[in-house]
Amino acid sequence: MPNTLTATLRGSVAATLAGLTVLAAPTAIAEGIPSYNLYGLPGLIDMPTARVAPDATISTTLGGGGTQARATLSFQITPRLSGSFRYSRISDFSARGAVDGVFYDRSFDLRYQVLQEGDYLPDITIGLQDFIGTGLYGGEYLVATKEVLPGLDVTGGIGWGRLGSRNPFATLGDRPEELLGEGGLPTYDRWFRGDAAGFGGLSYAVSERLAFSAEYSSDTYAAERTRGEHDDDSPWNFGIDYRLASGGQLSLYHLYGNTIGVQFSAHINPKTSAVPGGGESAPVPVAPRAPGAASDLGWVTAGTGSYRSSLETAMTNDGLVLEGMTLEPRRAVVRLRNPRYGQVPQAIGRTARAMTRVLPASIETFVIVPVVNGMALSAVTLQRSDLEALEHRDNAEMLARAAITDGFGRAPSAFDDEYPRFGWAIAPYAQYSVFDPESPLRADFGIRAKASYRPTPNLVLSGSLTKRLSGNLSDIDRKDDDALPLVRTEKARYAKEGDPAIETLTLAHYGRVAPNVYSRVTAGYLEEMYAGVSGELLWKPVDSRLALGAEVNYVKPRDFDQMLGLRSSETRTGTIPDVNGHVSAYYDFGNGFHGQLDVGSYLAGDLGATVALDREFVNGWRVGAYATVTNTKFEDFGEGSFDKGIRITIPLGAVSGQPSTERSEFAIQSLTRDGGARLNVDGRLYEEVRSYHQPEMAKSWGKFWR
Amino acid sequence: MSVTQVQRRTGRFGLGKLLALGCATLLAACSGGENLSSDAGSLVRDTFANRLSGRGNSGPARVTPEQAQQAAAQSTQPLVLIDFPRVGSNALILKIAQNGPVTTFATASRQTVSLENGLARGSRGLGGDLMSASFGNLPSLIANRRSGTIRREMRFLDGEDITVRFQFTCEVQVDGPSPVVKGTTAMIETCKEDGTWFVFNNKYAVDGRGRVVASEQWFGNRLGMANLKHLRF
Repeated sequence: MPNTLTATLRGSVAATLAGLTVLAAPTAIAEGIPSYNLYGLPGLIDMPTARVAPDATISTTLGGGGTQARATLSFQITPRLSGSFRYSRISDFSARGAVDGVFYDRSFDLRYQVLQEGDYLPDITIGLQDFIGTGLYGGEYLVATKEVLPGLDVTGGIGWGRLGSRNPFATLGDRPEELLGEGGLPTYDRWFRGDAAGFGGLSYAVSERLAFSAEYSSDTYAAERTRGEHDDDSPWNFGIDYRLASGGQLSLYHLYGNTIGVQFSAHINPKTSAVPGGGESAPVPVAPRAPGAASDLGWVTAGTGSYRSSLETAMTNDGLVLEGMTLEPRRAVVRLRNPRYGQVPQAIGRTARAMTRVLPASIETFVIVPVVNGMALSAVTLQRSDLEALEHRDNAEMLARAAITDGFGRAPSAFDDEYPRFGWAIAPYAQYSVFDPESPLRADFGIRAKASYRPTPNLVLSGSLTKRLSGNLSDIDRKDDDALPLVRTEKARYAKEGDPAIETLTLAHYGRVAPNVYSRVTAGYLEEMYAGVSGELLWKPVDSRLALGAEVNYVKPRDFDQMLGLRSSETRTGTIPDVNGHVSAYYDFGNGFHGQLDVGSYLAGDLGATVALDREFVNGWRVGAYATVTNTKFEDFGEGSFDKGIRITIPLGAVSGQPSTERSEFAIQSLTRDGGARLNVDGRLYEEVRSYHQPEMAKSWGKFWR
Repeated sequence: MSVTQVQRRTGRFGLGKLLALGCATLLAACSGGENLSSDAGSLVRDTFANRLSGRGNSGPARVTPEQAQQAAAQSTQPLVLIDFPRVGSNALILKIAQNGPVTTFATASRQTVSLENGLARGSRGLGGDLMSASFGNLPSLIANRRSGTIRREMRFLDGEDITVRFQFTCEVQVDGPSPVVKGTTAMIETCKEDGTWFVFNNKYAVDGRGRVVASEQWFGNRLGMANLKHLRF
C-alpha cells in the first residue's frame, strides 16, 4: 500500500533541518594545511616556503602591516600546482594609477612543487610571483623546506626580482624594467633574470595550534622606499601563528625591524561537503513484486487515472514533478521535471523507487525522460527486476544495467493541466563592482521582482524588474580613451538612469530539432544593455565528452533608463554592430578538468576567441580561469591588455547539506572594457543539458540509491 | 507510538557557507506559483539560525527505556531501538519494507536503516550514510552460530559525492553466552581493513533461532558504532 508508507514517512525539508545538531564530534584540525604568509602563499612571514596545501584547497588570506595590505585567493589546482590571485593596497605610494597616494594592484602567482619531502630530501617548490601584470611584486624563487626535528621546519631559497634585492650573490643577465603591452601579459622576459639573493628561516610548531617563526628576508622593498614611505631597518622578521579549530590561521608579525603586521587565513576544500552523502531524508524503499504478480494484466482494461495520481503524490513527496506518463502492459514512460536535485541520478533513482511502489506488477521496463524547458534531455531505461535485485548492492551494478540514451522524441506529452504554468518572486538583490581604483568595492542593493509564464512546455515568457534602494555603482566616473564602440563601458550611466529598470523581458523557445541537437531562440530585452534576438544550436550526443555549439545574436543597445526604448547604435567612439556570435566547443577531459573554446565576433565587432579551463568537482564545485584575446590591439584595449578572469562556482547543495540545483558563481575579472565583451543572455543550452548526459551522470551515480 | 528521529550531524560552518551567504540573501523573499526564488536564503538561514540558537546543543529528547517498552507492547510491526553514541542520539525504528532478506526500518522523519537478519546493509538520511555493504556468508555464520572468515565491503559517499569502497577481512568467532541478553550466544566479528591497521569489532547476541536480538555494529567513519536492540520481531 504505497500511500500508507508515504504517510509513515512524511516529512519535509524544513522538519529535517530543524533537527540539525551541533553535537558533531570535535573537528580535527584541518590536516596538512601549511602556514600561510603575508602574500597568501604557503610561507613563513613575507617569504615563501616549499610547502603545498592539500589538493583542491581554496585559501583566502587577508594580511598586512605598515603601508601594505594584501588580500589573496589561492587554489591548489593539482597536487603540485597552485595559483594565486592577489589584490593589494599600498598607501603613501606615488605611481601611475595611484589615487590620493593610495595604489591598488592586482597580481597573479603560480607555484609548482618539483620535489616532495622524503626521509632525506626536502620539499622543493618553484614560484613565479606577480607574473602577469604590472610586476610591482614581481619575483621568482626556488625554495626548499625540510622538517629537521618534529615540528621544526627549516627553509632556504634563492630569489630573483623583488626577492633578489638584498645582498645579491649572483646576477643572471639583465632584468628589463619596461612593461610588455599594457601590463596583463606574462612577464616572461624577466623570469629568473637579474640579481639573485638568498632567503631563509625557521618555524617551530610548539603544539598543534601554536607556531613561532623567524626569517631572513631578501626583499628590501626598494620600490616602496623610493616611491613611498618605507623604512627597511632590518632583514629579520618574526611571527607567531595560531591555528583555529576550523583550520584557519591567525598570525601576528614583527616586520622590517619597525612594524607590526597581522594576517588571517581561511581554507575550504571543494572535496568536502557539509554532510558527506547529503543530509536529505531517506528515499522510499523499493517495493518488490510478489512472485507471479508480473503476469497479471487485469489492470490494462481498468483505466490508468489512479496510477497517475498515486505516482504524482509519491514524486511530489520527493520534490519531483510528474509531467506526463504513458503506460503499456510491460512498459511505463515517465516525463520527469527535477526542480530539486543537483545530482540528477538521485532524481532518477527516487522516481524509479516511487514507480516500483505504484505501478502495476506487469510493467517491467521503466523509461524516465527528464525534461527541462520542454526539451527531453535523455531517456534512462531501467528494468524493474534490476531495481528489486540491486537496491542494497553497489550502485555500480545498477549503472551497468541502466541505459542512458538520447531523449529525442522519447518524452510523453505533458498532461493537459500541467500548462500553462506561472510563477513569480520578489526578493532583494545585490550587484557589485570591484577593482575600480577610486573605490575598490562598489555595490547596489535593491528589490527585484521576477515572473515567468509558460503557455506551453517549450515557451517561456519571463521578465525581471529592479528598484535600487541604495548603492554607489552609478558613481563610477571613468572615461576611457577607447578605440572601440562603447559596448560595455557606459555601465555607470545604465546604473544611474536605470532605476527602476527592466532587467530582462524575453520570450524564449527551447526545442529538440533533431537527434543530439538542441535549440534556443530568445527575443526581447535580453539583458540590461541590449535588446534583440538570440539564437543558439547545440550538438551534444548523450554519451559524448564533446559538445559543439553556435550562437548568433542580432542586437540594438537599450536606452539608458532601461525601459522599453532603444537608442542608436552610434557611440562616441564608433558604431555597435548589429550582429555578433560565436561557435563553441566544450570538452570534458575526464580527469576533473573541463575546457571551453569560443571563437567569433564579440559585441564591439572585434574578432577573437575565449579559452576557459575549469577544475570541476562531482558535487558541483568549480574553479576555473578564462582569457579572451581579440584583434583589438593591447593599447586599444587599455589596462590589462586583454580580458581575463577567474571564477568559482559554489553548489548550494554541497554547502547546505540539502539537495539543490542552485549554484552561486563568483568571478574576479579585469575591469570591464569594450574589447572581448559578450552578450549576457539567459538559458544558454550547454549548462542546461550536460548534467542530464554522460559523463556527468556516471560521475554522480552514487546518488542513485541515496 | 513514539518513533523519534536520529540526529543528523552537520559539518563545520566553513568558508563555503559564508560565501554562499554572501551570494544568497538573508532577507526574506516571497514567491508564488512555480518556484523562481532562490532556496539559498532559506536553506542557509535555517542552518545558521539553528547554529546560532544552539538549538541542537541539547539534542532531541532521548527515547527512555519505559517509552521503548511501551512502544514494543503497542507495536504490531518489527521494532528496533538504535543508538549512535558518537552522535549522541537514539531512535525507535519501525519496519516499513522487506526486499528479499533485507528489512528496512524507518524513523518518523524519513531516516532509514536496512538490516539483513539484524546485520547492517545500509542507512539513509542520517548524514554520512552507509550506502551499501556486502559480507559474503556472514548471515549464515551468525544464524548457525559458527566461526569463520569472511570478506566485507562497505560503501560510502565522500564529500564530493564519489563512492568510496572499504574492504575488510573479518574473523567471526563464537564467544560463549552473551552478557548483554540472557539466553543468547555472543558472537564477535573482528574486521581489519585491507592495507591499513584500521580495525573494528561488531558484536552480536544471537538467540536460539539464529536471530540477532542485540548488536553493536560499525556504520562508518562519521556515524561510528551503533547499538541495536530488537524490541519486537
